[in-house]
Amino acid sequence: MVDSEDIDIENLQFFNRKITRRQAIAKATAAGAAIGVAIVAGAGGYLAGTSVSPGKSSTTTVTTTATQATTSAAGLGATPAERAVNAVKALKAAGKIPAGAKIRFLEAAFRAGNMTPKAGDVRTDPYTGKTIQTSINMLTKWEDLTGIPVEIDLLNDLQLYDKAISEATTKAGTWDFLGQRIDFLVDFINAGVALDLTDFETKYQPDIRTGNCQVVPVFAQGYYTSDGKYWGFPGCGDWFSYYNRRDLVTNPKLQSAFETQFGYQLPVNGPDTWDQVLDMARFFDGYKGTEQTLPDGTTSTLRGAYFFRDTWFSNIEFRIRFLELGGLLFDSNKNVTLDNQITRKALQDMKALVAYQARDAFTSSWPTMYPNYANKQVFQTISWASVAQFSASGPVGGQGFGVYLTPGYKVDNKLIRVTVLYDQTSYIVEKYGKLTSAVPDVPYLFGQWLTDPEISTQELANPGAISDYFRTCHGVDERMIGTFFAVWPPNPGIEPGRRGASEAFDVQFQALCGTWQLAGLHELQDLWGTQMNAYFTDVQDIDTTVRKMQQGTDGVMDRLGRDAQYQRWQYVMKTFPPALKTLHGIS
Amino acid sequence: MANKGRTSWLRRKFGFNVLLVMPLQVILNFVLIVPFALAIYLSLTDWSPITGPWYASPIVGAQNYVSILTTERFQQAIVNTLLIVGGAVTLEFAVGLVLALAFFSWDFRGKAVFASIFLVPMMVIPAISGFTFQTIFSTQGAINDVLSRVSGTVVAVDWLHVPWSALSAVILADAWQWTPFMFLLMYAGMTALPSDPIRAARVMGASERQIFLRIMLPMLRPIITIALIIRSLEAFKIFDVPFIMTQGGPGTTTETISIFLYKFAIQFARVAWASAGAIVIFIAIVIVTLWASKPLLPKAE
Repeated sequence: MVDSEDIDIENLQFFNRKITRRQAIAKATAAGAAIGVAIVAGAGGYLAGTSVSPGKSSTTTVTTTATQATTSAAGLGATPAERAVNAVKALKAAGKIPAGAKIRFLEAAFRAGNMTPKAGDVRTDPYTGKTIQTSINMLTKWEDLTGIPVEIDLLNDLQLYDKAISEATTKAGTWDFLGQRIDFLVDFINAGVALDLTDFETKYQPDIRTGNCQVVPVFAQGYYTSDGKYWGFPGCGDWFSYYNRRDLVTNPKLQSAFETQFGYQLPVNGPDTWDQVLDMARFFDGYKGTEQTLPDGTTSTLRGAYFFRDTWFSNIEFRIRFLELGGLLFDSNKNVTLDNQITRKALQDMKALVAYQARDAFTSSWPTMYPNYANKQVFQTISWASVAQFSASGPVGGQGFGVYLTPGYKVDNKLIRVTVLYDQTSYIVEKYGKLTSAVPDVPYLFGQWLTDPEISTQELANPGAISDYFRTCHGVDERMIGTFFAVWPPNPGIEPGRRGASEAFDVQFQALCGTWQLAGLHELQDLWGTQMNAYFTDVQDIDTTVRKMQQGTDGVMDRLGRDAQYQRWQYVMKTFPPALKTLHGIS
Repeated sequence: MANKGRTSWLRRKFGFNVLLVMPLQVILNFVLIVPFALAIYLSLTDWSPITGPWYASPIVGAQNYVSILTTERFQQAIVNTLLIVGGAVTLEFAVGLVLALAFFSWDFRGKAVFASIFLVPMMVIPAISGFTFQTIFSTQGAINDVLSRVSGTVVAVDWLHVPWSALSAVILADAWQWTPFMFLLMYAGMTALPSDPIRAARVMGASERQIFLRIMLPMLRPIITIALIIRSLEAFKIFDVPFIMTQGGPGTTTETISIFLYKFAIQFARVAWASAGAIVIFIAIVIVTLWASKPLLPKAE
């Protein structure tokens, strides 16, 4: 035992060594600087050794080309799914897959239920109360078939963008397979996080554009770039249709009153134009009648419309109206053309509806909007397809609601209807993933297997319900249509006796415009959305709004390459629906 | 002897005192100096993750600084932040001071229990606080419900989509959460005041108001300054509450500097440009803090 008092501190050599504060700071700073330089040099060396920049030759050690084939695609199987499974088996047999290999999968949280239920599980449909058999767990099935496990992480779909860009920056290689929005694909390609799958497509033939697995062409555009390179697999794809209270528009008394007030007949089979939408909003807003009696016996004031006016949906509706009015993002001189009368007209018409909207329309909340519509508190809306099924279980059943084409504008006396693909997602292979780095074929083949339409059909955990718009990109595939729409109500808005709500989609395909694949689209959407929102909430006037949209868009185009952006826009224009192509003279 | 020899060797070679500070220096380098130096470097480049690797990005000099300082949205973010800081910190200080004075002046049963309850909001995670206030101010929230019951008509004001009320709601949410902090500091300051001057003033016939204004308040000045600086610095970085309540809207009327920088640096991958904004804000905060804390620094003889 040593008593601390016995230690002669004053005589210890260490404490006798005196330095000034200045010397101490100088030495510490020098040491710090040396360490700092070492850290930066180390990080730089690491990054220099692994990164790939667009358009430049790769210095990466990551394997980015398909492993040399030992078997031809035809010999691997008849369908994309068979070829995928057999190719993995062949790679395994050839010893090319490392022991303990697993696929790390980052997926949007709302889609996870489609592929991860346990076999034999049942769930209760939240809208109909019916018991539904869920599908088998696709990830387990893949592991059973190939012996390669899949670990799934879930995230909000917009945050997937941040994660992918982080992966591009850090090259951490956390995931091999990413669910992503097509809107942002160009950024992922430019950031170097998306693996070019062109060679793999040639080698394993996912049959996206040909054969019996054809994807709706307007969707397929999203998986390719204008140079023909292939980047991803069909994920979710959805668009919006117009819905209104069919029980009200078929009421003879209301029809007569409407005609008296507006001088034309109430559109029974859905409005043709946005002007009619506004007239109907005026007419039905605040309308009181027996139809307002809610299931619990209370009454509520009917609102004329429920079109979200938040930044997200405003972008969608603006694009629809902008295109329908004949708007183009660029003119032939590559100038951005947002500061014009077309944009003003679109935004002014959108704002005109605000007065007849449910107030909470400024917040996009589907859990609020669905009951609002189904409980007859709003007359009309634009929504996902599943609102039809949701409404069918409401107070008036399926007959009380009509599903119609998105309204249009008349340009040169011709009606133009457009529906934009907004929520199209895709699965990409992450270039820096651990398994991708070792054998990129495996995450690719997982994607090919998972998105084969036959496998996709099995993934539908809850056919026809809100979470099952997964795989709508296979909307021309009869197997998918049969499964997806099996539980949908008949659609009184479309010709009777046909396939119910799916029929609205068949027609809607004719008006679909492909995803706007532009670099920096995330930023552009925020720019447009916030400016529109500021206008709708009276923060600023129309001229300021349009000017800011134009200036901000010009800034993005200049920064990210106007020529390249113009080329991408040309690619988008190729997906215009026929009426729009005719309007702009596009062959 | 062997021990002495080793110490001498260390001293000769490195200077043992330098070795002692080395661990802290390493940590500082990793978490502070290198990222900060990197941020300064990046702010002088044209880098974005979607345009290539950072080390290959061209140097553009002060271009980002000029660009961001002339960006209307950045300027509005600064104004919004100042409004929130000014409104929230003033409210927090006023209410915190009044509460502290009440606790200091009156003795009542359950004082400790009440003090503990007052501190609860401070312990709530800001994201939860933001969500709670978003619910309260939504069209179908508590505020409209109360107003509907009182007025007898359906009130459905969309508080979070009207510029002035959205900003006020954010200020209220922040004040609700951080008034306890002010209360705590003020109360601690009051209890630490010397009692002699106060007693002497009372004996000499000073009113309670005069005692508070002329004796307590001047003596509380250092702690008030510290409290205001700490809260202002914290409020200046406000993110969670407005992001969850309004996401910066309507338009960009509640978009704070932190939300702005998060959006452009993380969501839109404009790292270099946003870095310039962060550096500008950092310099401004340092200058303001040095100025504000000047009265606390010892005066030269």
